[in-house]
Amino acid sequence: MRPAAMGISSTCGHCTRSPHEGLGSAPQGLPVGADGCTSTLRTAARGATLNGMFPHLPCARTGCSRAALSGHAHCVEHLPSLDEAVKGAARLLEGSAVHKDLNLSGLPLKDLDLSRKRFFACSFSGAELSTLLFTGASFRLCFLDFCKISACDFSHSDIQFSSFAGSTITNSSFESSEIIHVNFNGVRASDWTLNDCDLYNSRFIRAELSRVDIANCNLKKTYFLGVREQEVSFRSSNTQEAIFQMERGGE
Amino acid sequence: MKLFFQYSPRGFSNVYLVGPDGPGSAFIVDPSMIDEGLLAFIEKNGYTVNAVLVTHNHPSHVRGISTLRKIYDIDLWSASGEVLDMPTRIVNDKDVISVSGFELEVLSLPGHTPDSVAYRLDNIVFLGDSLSAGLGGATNSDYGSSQLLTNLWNKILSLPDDSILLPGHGPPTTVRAERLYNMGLAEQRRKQISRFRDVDIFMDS
Repeated sequence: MRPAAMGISSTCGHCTRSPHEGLGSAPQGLPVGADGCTSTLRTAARGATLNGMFPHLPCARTGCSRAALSGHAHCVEHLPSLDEAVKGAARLLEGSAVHKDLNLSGLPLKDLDLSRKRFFACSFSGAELSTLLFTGASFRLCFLDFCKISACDFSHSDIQFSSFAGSTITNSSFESSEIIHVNFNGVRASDWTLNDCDLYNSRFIRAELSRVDIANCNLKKTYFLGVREQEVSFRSSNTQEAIFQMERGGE
Repeated sequence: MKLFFQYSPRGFSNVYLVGPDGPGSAFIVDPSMIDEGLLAFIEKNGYTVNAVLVTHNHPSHVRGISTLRKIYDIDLWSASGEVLDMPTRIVNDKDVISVSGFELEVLSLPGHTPDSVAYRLDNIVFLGDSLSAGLGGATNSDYGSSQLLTNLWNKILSLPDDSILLPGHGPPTTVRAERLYNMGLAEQRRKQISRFRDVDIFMDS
């Protein structure tokens, strides 16, 4: 697969500078790559540990192929009591700082403070997430795809190798976050701010963006193909390193 | 099961390590690069890497094998008979292989390269370069595109909606998201349909 954007090969894989020669003079405490790069994207290169992976136990209802929710024998459609499941999920989410392998697909969750929580291999696919605080939270291989996300705060979060594909995002903030290798394909978003984010290697293919601020962001290797946009601001972002058009022949 | 994702700035590719919850044997998919972070994770978890799964024989997916071989005694699984001048255990379509205590199904997906395969582990598919989130795999010919498209629809996009697709490049995705938003698939399908229409017109006349 060759890089589809102009200029990719002429700069470092992590930051927007020219390729580094030898070890750079890093400010004290910053990690330095073998190529001397001190970009925060080094965190991405270090990888993400995912302990366990969606146990994927099938729903107990005969003929249902969906996965059962964590702590339940059924999927969201076949739960005996949705209210109880929602309350249980809220207790579970608020009661622990680190969550692994949770499947909360399709649950409606609202008014929770999940700031600084850490999520590994958790699925919220198809969930309705409203007025949730994920401030400073971190996500690794998490699925928040096909969700309805409204009035949520993901600011200062660290989201890597995760998917929000097909979600509807309204009136939400992801400001000042590390959003690296994240799938936003097909999102329908309005009144959404991503200002001051690192969006390295993330994708917004076929997204519909209305009143979205993507100001002062790192857009290196960020894909915006087939996007329908209205009042989208890229002010002070390095749009020249983003991919708005495919090279002939595709990637 | 534990999965470790590593982003390789060499070739901008994804490296995956899969191992058990406790110490034991582990395998790596497409080792583009083996660095200290990955080795530290292997050591910390008490893993012994005894296998490498190659989705296709491109340098950005296999370069780390030579480093690995200096440290571990590995079996190399690939649809190519040789990778980096090393003999492999050849995989074929629909093979079920037992690797490091895990059972994986091999799905042959020629198109990006003739030796392209995916490995399915339960609801997770290691896809290589046959598809990435929102984009189809690159091919060198119309025939290759058509072949890849057919195979993707028959073997990958026919899997359950929530199947997790872990590509060789870019972010993770699911079958449902690719069916709906993949630009490459939509474009290739349009071309294929228009080609079939041309054939129909020709046959009618």
